[in-house]
Amino acid sequence: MKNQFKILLLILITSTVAYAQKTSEIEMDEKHTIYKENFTTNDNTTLVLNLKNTSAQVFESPDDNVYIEYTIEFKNTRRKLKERQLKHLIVSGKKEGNKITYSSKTRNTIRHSVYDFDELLIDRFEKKNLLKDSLPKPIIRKSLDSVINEITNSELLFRNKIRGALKITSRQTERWNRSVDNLIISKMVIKIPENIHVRATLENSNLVFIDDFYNRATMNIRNSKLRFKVLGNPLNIFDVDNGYFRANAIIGGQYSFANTRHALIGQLKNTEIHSEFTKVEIGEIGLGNKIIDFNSEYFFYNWTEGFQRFDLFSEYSKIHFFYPDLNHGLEVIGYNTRNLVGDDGFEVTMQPKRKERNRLMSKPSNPKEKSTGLIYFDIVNGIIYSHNDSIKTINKD
Amino acid sequence: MKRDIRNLFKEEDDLKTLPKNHRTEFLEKLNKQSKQKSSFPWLKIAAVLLIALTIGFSLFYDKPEEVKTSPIVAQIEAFEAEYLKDIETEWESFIAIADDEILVGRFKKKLEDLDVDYQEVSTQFKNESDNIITIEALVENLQTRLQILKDIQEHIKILNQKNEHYEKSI
Repeated sequence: MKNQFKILLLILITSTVAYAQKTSEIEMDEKHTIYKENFTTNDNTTLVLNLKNTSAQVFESPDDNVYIEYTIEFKNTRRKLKERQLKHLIVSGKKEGNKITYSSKTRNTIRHSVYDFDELLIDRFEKKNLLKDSLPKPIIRKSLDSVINEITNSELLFRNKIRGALKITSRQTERWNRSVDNLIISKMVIKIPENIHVRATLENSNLVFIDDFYNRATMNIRNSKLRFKVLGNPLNIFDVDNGYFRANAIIGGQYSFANTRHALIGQLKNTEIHSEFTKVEIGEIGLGNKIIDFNSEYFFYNWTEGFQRFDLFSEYSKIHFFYPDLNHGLEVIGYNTRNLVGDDGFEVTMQPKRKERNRLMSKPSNPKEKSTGLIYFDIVNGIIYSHNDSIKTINKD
Repeated sequence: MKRDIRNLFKEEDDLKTLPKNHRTEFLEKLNKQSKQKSSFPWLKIAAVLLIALTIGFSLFYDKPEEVKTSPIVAQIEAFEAEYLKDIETEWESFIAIADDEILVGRFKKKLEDLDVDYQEVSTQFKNESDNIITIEALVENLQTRLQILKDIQEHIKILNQKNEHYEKSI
């Protein structure tokens, strides 16, 4: 029974891979255009996207129009399966004044949905080392490039985790990879002109923004996976509940993460983050950021030259802190917080349990050198992990 | 129009009087029939075999149908039962070591919210049990609940460890 379940699940999980690997070789035998429309816009236009159980690629529009195209292609697919997939699609679009509304919803996500997000997915199965069960890895400083690379390959890593949880072997995966029957490709492309406001409500959806996204965006995201290059509007308001969030860079705006499984951010600048029960990794912290958190795990890997000031207010948070290489100041206030230094777990208890805020750590910048900025932590019931490679930096002073 | 209905029964009795030799006629007919049946015994056997085979085949081929649909549900149910049990155990040990009511309250609310999400996804799963996204959502929801409880206990343990070093500045 267990094996049969695994095999079926394996087909579902790896159908994406099967197609991605053979994209160039396979000719699909049937194509259905579910929706195709374009809308004119001006600077006052708002695009409202209501997407449920939907996968889409988002591009910057080559002109002032919004373009939406949704197709489904089949290859050797059973008639009943085809009918079922098509039957449950509810897609609509309209324009009323300056408001364009596009909604897409399936009763459930298409099972064998295959989405060719980018070239890197094509050779995903050649990366056999990534298919091995992941072992606990030591926490080391990640470079910005490494974080961005992880963002690009995020879908592969996610699938690998699920495979690991269900103990599906790579051998089984490869066996099923050879089959190209019952292939269904769902492809939605949305092209958005710059300067229009985007309001999106996303549920159980998977969106990849192929180009940098400087539009003003207000997004309410639930149980979804999102991947961005640059999110660059200071008026952005994002509310992310559950799911996964990846962005090569965030420049400005307010972001809220609740119970987000993994928020992976390359560069962060002029941004305010409110978070709880979330794992957040930041490749490089730049100018003017503020974080307010409850019970999340943060990784601060690198700092730009001239970040000036960074504020963190947290309760019950775990902070993996890699010190800046350049001259900087550090202030920590709060209570009942521990600092674990290096992998050997040398501990510094910074305050007894007394519930009064006090200065816990203070390291002023070297007055003889130009300071790159001040790191200010207000931490209550927190743990700061200061990792080994930063000790050398501290001792440098 | 009043009428004594007892008279109706009397009239009926008069109409249905049996002929005198009805018993003999019936026995003769019965003998004839039984002789005809006994002349084709193989038909009986064939019929029995046919029925047996039909039932046998239908049972045999029905089984894989059940296997096709039920293992996923059964597997998820087993996974769910195992995780819910672990979550309950971790919750008990969490409230035993947590001395911060606000913290316990926030975790309680978080777990309730996750449970509401789970019920919603679970309903979707019942409608279409082979949807990979739904299966992933169920697995992740349970894993999240367990993980946050384990993490906070580890966190509290570290905070409660006996002070080994005391520094106010570095």
